[in-house]
Amino acid sequence: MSALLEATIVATDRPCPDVAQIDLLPHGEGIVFEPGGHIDVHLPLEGGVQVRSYSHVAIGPDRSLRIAVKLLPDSRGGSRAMGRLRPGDRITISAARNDFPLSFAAPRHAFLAGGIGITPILAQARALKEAGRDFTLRYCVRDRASAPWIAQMQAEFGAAFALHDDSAQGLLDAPTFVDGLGPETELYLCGPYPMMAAVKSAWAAAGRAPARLRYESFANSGATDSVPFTVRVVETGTEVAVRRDQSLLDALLMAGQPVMYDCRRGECGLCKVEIEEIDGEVDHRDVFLGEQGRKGALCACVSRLRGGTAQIRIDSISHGPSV
Amino acid sequence: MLNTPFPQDAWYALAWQDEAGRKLSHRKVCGHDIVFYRTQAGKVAALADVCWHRLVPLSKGQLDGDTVVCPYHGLKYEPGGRCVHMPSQDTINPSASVRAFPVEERHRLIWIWPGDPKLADPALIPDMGRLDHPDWAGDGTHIHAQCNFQLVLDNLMDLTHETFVHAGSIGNEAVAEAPFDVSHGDRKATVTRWMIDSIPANFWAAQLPGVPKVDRWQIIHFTAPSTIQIDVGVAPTGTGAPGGDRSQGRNAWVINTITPETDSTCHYFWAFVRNFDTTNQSTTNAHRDGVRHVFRQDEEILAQQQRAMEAYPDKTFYNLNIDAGAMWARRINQQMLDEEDARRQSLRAVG
Repeated sequence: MSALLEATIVATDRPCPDVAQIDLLPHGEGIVFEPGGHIDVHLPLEGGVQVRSYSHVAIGPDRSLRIAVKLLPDSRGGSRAMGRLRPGDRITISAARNDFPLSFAAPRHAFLAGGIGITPILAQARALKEAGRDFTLRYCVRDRASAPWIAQMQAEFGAAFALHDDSAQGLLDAPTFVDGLGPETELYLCGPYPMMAAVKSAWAAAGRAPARLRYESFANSGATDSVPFTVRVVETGTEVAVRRDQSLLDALLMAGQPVMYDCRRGECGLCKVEIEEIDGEVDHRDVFLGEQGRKGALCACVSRLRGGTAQIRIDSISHGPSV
Repeated sequence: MLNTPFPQDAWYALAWQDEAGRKLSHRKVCGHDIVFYRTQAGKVAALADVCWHRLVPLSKGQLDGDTVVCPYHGLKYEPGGRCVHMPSQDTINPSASVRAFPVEERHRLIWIWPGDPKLADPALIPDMGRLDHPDWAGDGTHIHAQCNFQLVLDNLMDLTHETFVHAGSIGNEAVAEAPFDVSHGDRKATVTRWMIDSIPANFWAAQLPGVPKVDRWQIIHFTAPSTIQIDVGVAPTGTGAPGGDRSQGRNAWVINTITPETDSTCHYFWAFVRNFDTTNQSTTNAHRDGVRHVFRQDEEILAQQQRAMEAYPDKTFYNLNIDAGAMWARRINQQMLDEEDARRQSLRAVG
């Protein structure tokens, strides 16, 4: 992991009521700004320091980084703490590997952002614009009032920018959107889980090259709103109650249950736990498990039950491709 | 003496065209380990030579169709650097990729842009058109030089050293004692030296048999950050070469482009091309072997110079008037570095 750096908040704003825009100035050498990249913020939260990742949207002439945080009622505590930051406050950050790099080699680019998923996409679109390259950017919002930077992007990107307002137009139809992209187009996607799942499925159905669909997940939204549920760990007999603002993984760890994990974003599959019995349904929010793998298992870092209870195993987990 | 830093936002020669094939090759450029190969369609791909998963060099793996297979766990990457296969799972991690570098093929060389990819405009590749022009013939090679790239530039920007390092071939008394002009422009510097009515050094005497005195020229063209093309030749004294009539003479170009590898090593690509006797392979071989011999002498001096810089970190170079061309090259490169730094600092704040 990269070294920890102190950073001072230099400005805050609310580009819309439930988004906090934060400019922070890292001390020392600063942080390399790359379109699509993010920083890790180390927050003192319940149960100790927790790491949250935020895409950097822009870098200022003073080398301050701009991030934006959606203020969520279901937050695991991170967005509440971030929303309280004021100029002069200090936080601890670290540089992170760019997990959503932009390729200039692609013959054509399209961007699709949903809600706060605009943060890495905006930085990428600006990089392409600076390079004088063509692209299209579709920005899906629940309604105009709950989305940052609409007017600014209209002015900045002109005809390349198109807004999709769910409240007026309904949810984006993923197959139609994918069909509308030219061949060889590389699509960069970031948004809530259901939207990403619909686009991934439409992409595969259209027979497009998997490597040309680039996406980044942010692990805090599912097909349904988060609700509390409970699990019983078979190996230890421990009952664990999971609050709506807490992940299954965090609840297990806080209850002292030995669970392996790494990415905390539903990507690596190391936190897979297996379901012995379930009274309820699973809201899968990971990008790791395939259709088969989802039968009888879930990624504890992001996926959860839609209420109810389950008996899970946390040891002797079967890994590997489904047969 | 400290090593000179190098700009990243520039095209550098990665390899001669024939070095890239249907196999994985490795070279380090500006501190980046690169694996490169040709796709089945013949296009060159250049990727970071570090597996995303466990950092093992991909160049030790295999080529499977157009994909690179990591030798350790079999992760596969396509020419754009995206992972297209992972062992033991149904899906592919969305962030799994290695950096793909912009590459272009031009003038018999493969060029790579190690810096900010959005600035990689192929129009910025140095014009080395004599390397693939039908009026010019000749050949060269690649030297893995054990010195900072700037030392090679210094060497080529001042040919006074020919008298001492290359006595017996291209150097003689006339070189070190003839006056020279130095000029500079945007991203360019030029050093011009005419040795009027001079005794030709051995190499040139052999190109114009029976001519006792010549007007000899060396016109050194620097293009930032590291390309130096030298217009060299001789004509019988008084036949008008200084005024532009080279018809009685012999003209060749020494084409050089230097690619930093690390702070203290570099890749030196060179060729020697001529516009006379162009269909004779024996002449091509003789010139290439002759220049190779000459450049080995430089290589040895430069490696010794690098070792001395490391042995005496507190000592700096003293500059003489013969170093004027090299000084302009250094200043122009420093401007490039300053601009690069300013770009990194001034990415706009909006949002």
